[in-house]
Amino acid sequence: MTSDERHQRMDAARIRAELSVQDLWLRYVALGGTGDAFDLDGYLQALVPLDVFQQDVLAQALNEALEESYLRYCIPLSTPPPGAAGDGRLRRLVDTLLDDQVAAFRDRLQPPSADPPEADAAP
Amino acid sequence: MTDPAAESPIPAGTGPLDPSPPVDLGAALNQMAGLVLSRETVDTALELVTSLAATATAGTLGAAVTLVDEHGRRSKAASNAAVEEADALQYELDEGPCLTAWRTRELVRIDDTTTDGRWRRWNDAVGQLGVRSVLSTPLVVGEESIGAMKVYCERPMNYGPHDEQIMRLLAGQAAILLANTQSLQAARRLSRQLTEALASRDAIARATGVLLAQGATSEQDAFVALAGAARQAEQPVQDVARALVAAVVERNTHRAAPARP
Repeated sequence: MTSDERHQRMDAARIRAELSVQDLWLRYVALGGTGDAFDLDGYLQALVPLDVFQQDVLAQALNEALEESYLRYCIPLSTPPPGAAGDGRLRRLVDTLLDDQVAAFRDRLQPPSADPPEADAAP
Repeated sequence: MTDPAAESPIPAGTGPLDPSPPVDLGAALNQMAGLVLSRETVDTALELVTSLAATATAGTLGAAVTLVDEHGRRSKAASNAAVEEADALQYELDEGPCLTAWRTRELVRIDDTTTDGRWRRWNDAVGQLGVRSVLSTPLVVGEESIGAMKVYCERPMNYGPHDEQIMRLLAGQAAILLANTQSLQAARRLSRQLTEALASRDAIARATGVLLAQGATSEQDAFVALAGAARQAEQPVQDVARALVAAVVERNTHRAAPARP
């Protein structure tokens, strides 16, 4: 997917989630985004580029908004299905993050070639 | 589960671990400050407009503005008690010239409350207060009708086309002022949303710090890890971040407990 398509899809998602640029900016700031509302507006209209990290934050903000708007339309069953213990799953994930963090990140981020373990791993 | 991190006396978000550059809230806050200051001005200016309406239309007993919104119907900037009473009767009886002006967006004129048959109950009631003729203009902001501005008179047949023209002009000014008050409400909402956004941002910054200490090589990697966990847990990143910080606090507490005497 080219970056051109990405900003178009993001704006389509924003409209789908029924968010104004201002609403989206608030969600993006809440996730740690550092651009201002003009940066977002400009990016969505393909006028200014946006840092890849900031694009990811924006994408997450949109995904959460889409999920919320989808859930608003969901009809709950008369009896909740068994095994819907979301809290336990979150707990396990958090434990995994805390226990395997170092290894997981090393695996994913460092090329298998022999790098010195610490320092100047980032290109 | 409560979030111990939220009440924690440790200023976790303000230390050198906090990786986020300050977000530019200046513009939003300045905008709000301007609007907050303007509320007093709006009320004063609105009173000025209604007293202008009272003086510019000959023989007027009093003038006021009716507002209709999600908080109900109420009067503002009434020039005297009789006007407030006549307005209160409209809201009570759910009929009257101002409610009709608001609904239809058309100017309403009553030449004599003792003979006008359109709002029988209200006309009878205000006739006893001494109100004989009425002129009421709708207040329209953009596409929305937000109320009406009216003048009351003790004499019948008091208002003519000239007064209608004056009221139309003044209602336009009052509507602009009231539109400003409405953006104050929007600013209040924005302020609340910003506070919530900053709380979420703090939680995520703390969690990012934890992951950096755990070996994440950049803030972006930490964020990607949080977002990945959020997707698997089908929870917002904010909740994952809070759970992560809470889990760290819990582990540290357990670790510290045996050492205590």
